[in-house]
Amino acid sequence: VGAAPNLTPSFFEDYVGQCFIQGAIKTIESYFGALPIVHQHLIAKDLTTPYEVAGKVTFEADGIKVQMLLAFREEMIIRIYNQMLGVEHTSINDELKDCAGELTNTVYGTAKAPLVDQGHKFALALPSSVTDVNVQLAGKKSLELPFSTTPGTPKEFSLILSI
Amino acid sequence: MFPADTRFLVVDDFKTMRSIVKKTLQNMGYTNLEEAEDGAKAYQAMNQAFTQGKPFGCIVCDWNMPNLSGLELLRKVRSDANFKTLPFVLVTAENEQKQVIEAAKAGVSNYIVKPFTPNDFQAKMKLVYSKHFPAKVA
Repeated sequence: VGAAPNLTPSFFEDYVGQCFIQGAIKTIESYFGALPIVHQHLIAKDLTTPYEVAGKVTFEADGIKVQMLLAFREEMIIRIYNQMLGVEHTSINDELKDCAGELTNTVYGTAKAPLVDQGHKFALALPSSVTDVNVQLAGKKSLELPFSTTPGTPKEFSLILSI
Repeated sequence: MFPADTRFLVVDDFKTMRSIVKKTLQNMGYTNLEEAEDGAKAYQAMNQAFTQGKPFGCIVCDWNMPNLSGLELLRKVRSDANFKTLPFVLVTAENEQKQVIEAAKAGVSNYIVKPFTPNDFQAKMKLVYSKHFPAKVA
């Protein structure tokens, strides 16, 4: 299996996909203090999401360019930031954008480490953050893995891989 | 453990991570904390602090940063006579074996893997102190 996602329904069941899932779960659990619940994944071109902010990293894995977003509803990133630093913001601002970027950086690094140790090649990538989440997904085929932190609630954040 | 008046320099391009590291250090009782957003600015701050006679006692630095990465800063620090033996901790999510070996060769004091808990952080800082100041620990 190549490190670059082939974006098939089975991707998240493969080892590579599991590395990304575990990266997201471990990061959110560590900083938010609750184990995220994984929802059913979906694949779509021009995916539309309800998210207001995302961390973004575009990386090249085994020669294929992939965009990874860790996208959040506003209330979710506010709760995470409050849990991490004890500060409650009321709307998306530079600090919450920075937080989304850092969480993405951690998820990406956590997912990448075991894959690099297996011999996959990743070019250097520097994460950033965006507020135009759906614009970032336009024209791309995306695989979304949604999460929530409370049983029975709709998705609160998602890991989205696009090519 | 590092004395309470130790001056720490926290280096990361993400403000959130600088705040988390600073908060963790504050909870450990440290108040003399400064920050820099990349390796180049960190090196400048280190030289300035040294010239002013108030050198940093420990650098806590991210790996993946623009301008000067954590590893590049570490190499610069270790080749500078003023900072050759300064405790230098890398904080990174990218803990692949090749990187760990590179950092060890460059003279890193220890490695903290993100995401980390306050206990993980404190345990690593204890190890760093005992590595650099074994006589004070014994």
